[in-house]
Amino acid sequence: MATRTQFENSNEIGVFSKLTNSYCLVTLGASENFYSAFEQELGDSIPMAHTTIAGTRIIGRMTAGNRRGLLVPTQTTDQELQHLRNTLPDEIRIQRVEERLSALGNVVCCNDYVALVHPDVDRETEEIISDVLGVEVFRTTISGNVLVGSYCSLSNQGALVHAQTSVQDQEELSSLLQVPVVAGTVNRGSAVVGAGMVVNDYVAVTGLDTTAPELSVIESIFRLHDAHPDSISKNLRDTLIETYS
Amino acid sequence: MTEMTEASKASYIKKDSLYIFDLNTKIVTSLKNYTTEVDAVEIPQYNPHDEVQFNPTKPKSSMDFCSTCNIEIEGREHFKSDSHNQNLKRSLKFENTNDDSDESISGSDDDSEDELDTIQEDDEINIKASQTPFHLFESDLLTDVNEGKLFAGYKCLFDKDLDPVMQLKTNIPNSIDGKSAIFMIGGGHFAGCIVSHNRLKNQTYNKKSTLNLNAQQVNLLKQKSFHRYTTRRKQGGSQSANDSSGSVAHSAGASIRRYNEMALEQEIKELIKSWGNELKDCEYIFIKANVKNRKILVNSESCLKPKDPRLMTLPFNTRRPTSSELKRSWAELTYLKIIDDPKTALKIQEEKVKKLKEIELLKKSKVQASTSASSVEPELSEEERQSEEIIGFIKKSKIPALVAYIKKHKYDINNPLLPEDKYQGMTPLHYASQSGQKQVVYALLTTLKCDPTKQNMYGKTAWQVAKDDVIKHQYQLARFKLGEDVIDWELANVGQALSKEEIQKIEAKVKHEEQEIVEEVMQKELEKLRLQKQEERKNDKKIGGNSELQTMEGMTDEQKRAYMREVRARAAEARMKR
Repeated sequence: MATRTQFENSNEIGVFSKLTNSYCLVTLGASENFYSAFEQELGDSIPMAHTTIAGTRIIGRMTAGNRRGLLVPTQTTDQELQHLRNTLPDEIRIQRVEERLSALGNVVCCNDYVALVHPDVDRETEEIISDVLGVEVFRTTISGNVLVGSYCSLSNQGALVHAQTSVQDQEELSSLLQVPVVAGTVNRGSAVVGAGMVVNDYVAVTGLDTTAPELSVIESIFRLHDAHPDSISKNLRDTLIETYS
Repeated sequence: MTEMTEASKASYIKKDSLYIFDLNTKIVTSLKNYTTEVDAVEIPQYNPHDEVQFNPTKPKSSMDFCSTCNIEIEGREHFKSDSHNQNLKRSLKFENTNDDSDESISGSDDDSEDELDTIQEDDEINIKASQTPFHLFESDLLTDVNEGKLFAGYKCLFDKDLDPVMQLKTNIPNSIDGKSAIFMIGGGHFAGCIVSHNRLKNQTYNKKSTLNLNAQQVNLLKQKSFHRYTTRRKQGGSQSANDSSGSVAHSAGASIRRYNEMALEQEIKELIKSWGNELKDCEYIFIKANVKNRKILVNSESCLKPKDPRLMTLPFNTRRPTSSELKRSWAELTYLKIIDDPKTALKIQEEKVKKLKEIELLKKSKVQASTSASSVEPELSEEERQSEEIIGFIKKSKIPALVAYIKKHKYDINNPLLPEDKYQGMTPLHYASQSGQKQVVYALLTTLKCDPTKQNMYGKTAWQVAKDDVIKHQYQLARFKLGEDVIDWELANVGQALSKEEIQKIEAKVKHEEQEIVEEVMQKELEKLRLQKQEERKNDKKIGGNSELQTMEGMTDEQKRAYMREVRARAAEARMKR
């Protein structure tokens, strides 16, 4: 399911929240609707942490993470780190990264298996990413944009990239990520798909401006309507029949 | 002949009959709204039930090509390699510069067809966005000369929501007894009027006026114009604009202009106030002023309120605000025009471009032809050309070249130079001796065996036209060398033969004489100067002139030093003052 919401009149959901398969971070603010949208979608399935990073509210752009861990920039205060440690489950590793490109959310884009990073990221950071998040790391660009985290929205099911990505680039990205890739927009034509939405394997949250066609592309590429009853019989038929036979 | 004139009469439309408030019924009935096909642009409607086109790129089982490195690869391992990362960074740098160059290339693209296309597109957009200030009308009356043309009326006279043709038939003619106002402000000039929609029909054309008849027929009910000195001379712009830019001038001119600006504003406001009643009845109010000046006219306190629907700006350029300019503007506004159909105008433009290109091509080919056949260019005969070249050699005193040329072309050196009217029967020897080329003269006489007895048009031999004695000496030297038998020297008027030594002696003597004369003159001058100085000294003593050196005489060393210090200090002070 994809849902639309707004954070204090801003549509850039990916800026103010971080969503993975095992936890969710939301920023502090006066936008009660924003929290309820997340709570409604996630329920009690995964823990939700209300936090700031280095005193800022743009936590989605400052952090990178997946099911296994969370990377925060070196500017993150001890208090914030402690708060995160207390809120998130113990099996999730939290690590500070000393990286010049401190907006990790903009320079890293990852799912549970692969991470795309900015070409200029430190080699040490690359190692930390692969260790903490347990992923393969590839330095790349998205149609010439070095901010891979801003221009790509990625889950284990698929990837949505900048609208002007060439077919050749899409093929290459798709081969790197081993998931289907589609070029598209969110929030009524915004090409910064990474900052405009958050997604994990069963939920996507986008800006309130997102149009129906955009939402339909998002639901298709991230396979979010697989939760429907009829899709089970379609997708799992082979497995089920195998079991019966 | 008669048919022709009748036809042209039929197609001729009197400008007078195009007054928008008093249109000829024949014209009105013939008018149709002009539409372009581009109006009917289909807007695709979004149907939410439609399947959105969705075809994601699926991952390939094996990767075979890296577009960054431009090489064939196997598997994903290549993307982790250093060489790939290096190439990626390099390609990023390269791409940034490449983007710019790409743009500039497209900007200076001189592919002719592309250019034409862009022109077309632009104009279509213009029609689409209806950026023209006119409503356009088709009419059957526009034939012959006016074929393919359209009637055009300024949009500002029409109500946006109603059909323009309908308005021309009913609404606008109905307001013929109405009136309108025009105000113009600019550069310290103000002109305003209230104009009746009814023309002065009885007005006959006044040849002395610079205005055309239509403008002369404008019926101004009230008009006022005044001028104040407010603009900054040479720099331009108003004083207030300069003041608001930060630098406040304190000159007399600046304060005069400041005062005048305020006075102008005051006068305009008072005028508007006094015209309040008339302005209430006005159908249209046209204003030509910049934003700041407009605020003088239109504000919440004046009788012209900012949201008044009658307020309009003049949709064309105007000159300095004067009463005649008001009349011209009103005439411009209220008469239908006959203009080219934008579509046909487009075609004409295209044709023009084509023609220009053809002309250019022609020119180019001509240039090529002329360069390939440049030898045809001078229309001189062979002999004339030869004399031209010989003169060239003589002028530059290129004797070996001259000798070689004459031997090569077997040119008879005693022939007079051509064209005759230019050189007046001169032989090359005449020419050389007249222009003072002494070596050439000698060479012509000795090596080339020129005949010095030849006479020019006026019966003078070369000796007689010689520039000075030095040239004449060359003749005498030649006479000495060649001997008396070869040439009849007497006939050539040449003086007695002289050897080289004799000539040197003569020249030395001449030089010596000259030197003496010069020395004598110098002596005299010096004497004069000395006398003058003595005179001056006498005068100085009388007045008791005190030059520095004189005052310093009789001082002790210390005093001298002190005095010099003083002098230097004074000099420094003077310099500082500057």
